[in-house]
Amino acid sequence: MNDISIISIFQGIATLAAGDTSIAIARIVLILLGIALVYLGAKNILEPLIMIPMGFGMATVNAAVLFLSAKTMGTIFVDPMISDPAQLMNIMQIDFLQPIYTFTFSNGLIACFIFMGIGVMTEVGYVLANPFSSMLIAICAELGTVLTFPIAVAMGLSYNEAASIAMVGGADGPMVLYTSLMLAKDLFVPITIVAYLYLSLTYGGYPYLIRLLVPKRLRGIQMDLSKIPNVTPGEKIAFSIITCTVLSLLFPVAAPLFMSFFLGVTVKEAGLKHYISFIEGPLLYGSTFFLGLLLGVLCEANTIMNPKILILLVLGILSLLLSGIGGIIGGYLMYFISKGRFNPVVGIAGVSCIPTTLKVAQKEVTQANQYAIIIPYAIGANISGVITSAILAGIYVTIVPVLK
Amino acid sequence: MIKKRIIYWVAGTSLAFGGVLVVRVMSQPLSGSSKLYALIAGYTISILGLFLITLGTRRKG
Repeated sequence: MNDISIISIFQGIATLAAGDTSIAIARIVLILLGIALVYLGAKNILEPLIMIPMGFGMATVNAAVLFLSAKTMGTIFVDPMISDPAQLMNIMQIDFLQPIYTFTFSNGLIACFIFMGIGVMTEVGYVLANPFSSMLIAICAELGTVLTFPIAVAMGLSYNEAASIAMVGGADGPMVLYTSLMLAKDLFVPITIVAYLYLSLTYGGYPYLIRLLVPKRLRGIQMDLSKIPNVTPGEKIAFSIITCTVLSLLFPVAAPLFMSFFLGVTVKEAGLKHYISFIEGPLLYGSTFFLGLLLGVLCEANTIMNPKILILLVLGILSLLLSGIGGIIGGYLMYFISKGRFNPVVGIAGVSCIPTTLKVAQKEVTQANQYAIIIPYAIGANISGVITSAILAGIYVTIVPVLK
Repeated sequence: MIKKRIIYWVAGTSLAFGGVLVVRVMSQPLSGSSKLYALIAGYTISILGLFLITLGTRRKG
């Protein structure tokens, strides 16, 4: 009887011993991190819709490394580094998630699907009702997206990488994914992971920032809701198609994002019930599920281990922090312009993490004054934040590649 | 009132597409700093045009 090596039976464990020690340690850390993400997601401490599939993917892929040949190790999940068409055709018949990665992830389609879902759930009328406050706050809330770029360059990242990590300040996961896929394909996995991890922390972190920067007296300011104008569906549709066309003409590279978002808005306003239920149900949740799962699976130690990861972690949190501060500065500007009638907490909603920052803003205001309602103004700022983030993504994707 | 709103919509749309014209057509033959200024002006005009459209939707609820 031939000798049966225990290694050939349990290859997941054997590959830990066979490979580089640092990679083996990273795999164990990532398995534990994946389990922690599932736990934190299930407990609703982190965003469960993303964190549960992501944690599952992360833990499993790092446990499931095997010997593909006598000398090479890998997984049969997905290989993000393949670009040769012949190899790609071959690997698509082996790695079970490769078709989804190739046809929806690496070309940004999944980001567009999610953006379409956001569009369907968006009430653009609040932007049209309060255009000045919404846009001013949203522009201020891009402080992190703008300032992180030169800081990242100063810390040694290339222009493309710096722009990609700076987009974390836009607080929009699909936008970060899209920008990094366009500009920094080698780093898109760690950048997107950093973005989604931090975005799910905003619900816990931003309330402290609000309490630090806005005194309780100002947090409790009651805003006048009777002055909010009505906007008809026809006006919203006309605004959507004109804005989408103008922005696509200005930033053709980001046109898929613009089209997805404004198409979602138009479908909602046109009252196309079958499309609405399809986009906000199966399309949005299906895309979110596979986005989380693929992000987790892409966290295989060999893929994610990058000497720049620490810099990305620092810059990601810096970018979100600056954007939060910028948003509150915008809120204060509106407070002074309106002579004290505008609640500065609305500013945090300019950070376009829909609907997290919106909920955070209303929650903090309610704690200070249970009769104060800011939601209509906060929705306007939130949606303007999405639009300004998309514009900044367009500017970065268009201009950064031509910088020397 | 309706006439005033239509003016906002027409002026805003014209301004927005005028900005596009500056960015995509008029700035193309330029080079160096004049191209940069033309691009900045074009982008600003377009965004201002979109902002002007939003003013056309303002009325009391």
